[in-house]
Amino acid sequence: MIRLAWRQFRTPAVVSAGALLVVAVFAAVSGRDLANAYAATLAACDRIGDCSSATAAFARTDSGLNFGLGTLVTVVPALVGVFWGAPLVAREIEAGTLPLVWTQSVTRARWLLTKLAVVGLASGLAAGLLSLVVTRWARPLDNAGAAMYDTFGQRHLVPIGYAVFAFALGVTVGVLVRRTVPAMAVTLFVFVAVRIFTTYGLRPRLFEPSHLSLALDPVKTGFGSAVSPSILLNSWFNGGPTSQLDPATPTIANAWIYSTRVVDAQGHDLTDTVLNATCPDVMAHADAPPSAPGHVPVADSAQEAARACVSKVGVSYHELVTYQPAGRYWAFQWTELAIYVGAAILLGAACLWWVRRRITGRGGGI
Amino acid sequence: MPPKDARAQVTVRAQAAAMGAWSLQKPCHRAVTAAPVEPCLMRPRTARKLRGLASLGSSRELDTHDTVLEAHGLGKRYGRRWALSDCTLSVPAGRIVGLVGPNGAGKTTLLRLAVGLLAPTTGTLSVLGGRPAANPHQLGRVGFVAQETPTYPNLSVTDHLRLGAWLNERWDNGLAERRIAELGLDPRQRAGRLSGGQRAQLALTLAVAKRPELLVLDEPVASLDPLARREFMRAIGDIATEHGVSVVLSSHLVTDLERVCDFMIVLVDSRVRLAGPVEELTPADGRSLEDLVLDHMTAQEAHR
Repeated sequence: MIRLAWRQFRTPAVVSAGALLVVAVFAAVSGRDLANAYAATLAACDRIGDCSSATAAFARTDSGLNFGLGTLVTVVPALVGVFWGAPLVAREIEAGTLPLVWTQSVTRARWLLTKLAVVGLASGLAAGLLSLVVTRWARPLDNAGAAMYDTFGQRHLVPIGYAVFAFALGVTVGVLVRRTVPAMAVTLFVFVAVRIFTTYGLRPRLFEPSHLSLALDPVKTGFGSAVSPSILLNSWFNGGPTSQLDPATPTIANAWIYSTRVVDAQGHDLTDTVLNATCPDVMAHADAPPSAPGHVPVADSAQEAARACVSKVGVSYHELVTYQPAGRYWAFQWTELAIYVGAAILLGAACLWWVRRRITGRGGGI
Repeated sequence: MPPKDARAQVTVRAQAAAMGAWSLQKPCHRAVTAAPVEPCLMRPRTARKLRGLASLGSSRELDTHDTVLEAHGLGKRYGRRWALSDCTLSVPAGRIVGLVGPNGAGKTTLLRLAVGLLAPTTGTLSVLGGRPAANPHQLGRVGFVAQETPTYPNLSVTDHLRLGAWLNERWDNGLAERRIAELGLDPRQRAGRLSGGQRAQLALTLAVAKRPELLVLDEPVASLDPLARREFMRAIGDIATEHGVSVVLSSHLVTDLERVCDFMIVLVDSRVRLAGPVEELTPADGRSLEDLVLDHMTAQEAHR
């Protein structure tokens, strides 16, 4: 049975292996240059004795390529689910080949398990190798950027889990929907939904975060906050700021900072009502719509007033930083990998049950 | 027709009741030639009575060696619709059995139950003395060619033979290659490029080369042109004689079956209306077998 499973999977396997090889060769060549450049940068800044600004600048080199390769690692599991998972059984249902293969001398349980094993392992292998290639390529940039959680889903182990899960999801959807193209669409939709949910809803709750209390810094505290899709999603799942006062995010190397809140001694959040009462004249300024996107140029007098306001608020309030330290990165990686692989195994078991009991029971069209 | 004494008649009847509905018809076949249609029409009430008889009498000692398929009260339900209900029949071994009946009679459902693609909702079914598709061994004993004779369009003819060799313990590669050569098929040709007739022959080759004891074919010629139809039917006849394999073949056309089958079962509304060796069923008054079968189908319509 393993030979049939391989024969049916041969063409996509060879095409994918070819594409992976191209990426690997390119990354090996380009990655060597990148590593050399990083070594040179470090050597140069060591002589000056200050590397912080030099590494920060280096982290932004090749940003387009970095983004592209990162996106590739994000997208490949979805492609695996859509093109390897969804058609695995759905295409056989559609083409009417199940009566042919299910009446050979191989039980349908073994038929399904073999196909799941062969293509499932290939899914994990493909995503794992791609992740390895990209992780190695980006190592100088990641070291310089010191924000390892930012690329959490594109490095190391978790892409394997995503791909194996996406594959099992695709097979399951194909068994349920029974038609290839709708199954592909549903697989993509559900996979994206699950990834968003785990990234913003589940992952932050896996481990109890650490906290850091800081005094409010009148110079670095701003008003209002930046808006991006990822920030909006995060605040939808985990709650957004409660006041317009936006304290500076401290620099903690490689940490994952959940939030920087302004709280009093009892841990209550600062609200806009309190902020208004404390410094009414500043809030009048802050409420005015900005004249241009980005930083709003403010008059020196307004800036002075704002600093005075932050100092006033700082008497009873302080900044509370909630974060995961860098040391937990691997615990997160292994846990998320286990969650996704576990979910994939459950889906595979559901498919097995369905293929043995139900698939023939519905409508009779096999 | 040799006359039989009354006691022999009774014995036949008791055995027949035990064996299932087709044998019940045995005393009828004689009647058919004399007065067609009516005496053979088994109404549900009669069937129940006779089954009752079977359970009373000596049913269990009957050997199932001479049957390839035994169904008792077999039913299959899809949601609220019964595709097959309360079907009781026996299919004799060593024959080419034609299963004929109108669309919706339950032929396909019955055959899919027989090869284990479906599981019955009610009743029991035994094929070659075992539960259909119970294990690889049982799967290997039954060859199946499904309606529309499916093959993998992207795989070549050779790939299909490899598939057969990979998935079947008793695969006879010599037989498969010989058949492909005789048919004049290009081994490198993709199955998707084959004509309907060639595809059907490829599907048949797969089913035959696994060396089954029973070959089940579900309307294999429904979509073929007359020439391909005739060749396919001839191939089935050759296979049955060459390898001594029992064959069950369904169609809604009597003329398809008449040519090759030596035993006929007429299924209408899940029930056996007529069963017996073709030479016994063929009316003596010069009418065709098809007329007889049609009579039984229309009699059923009128009965409803």
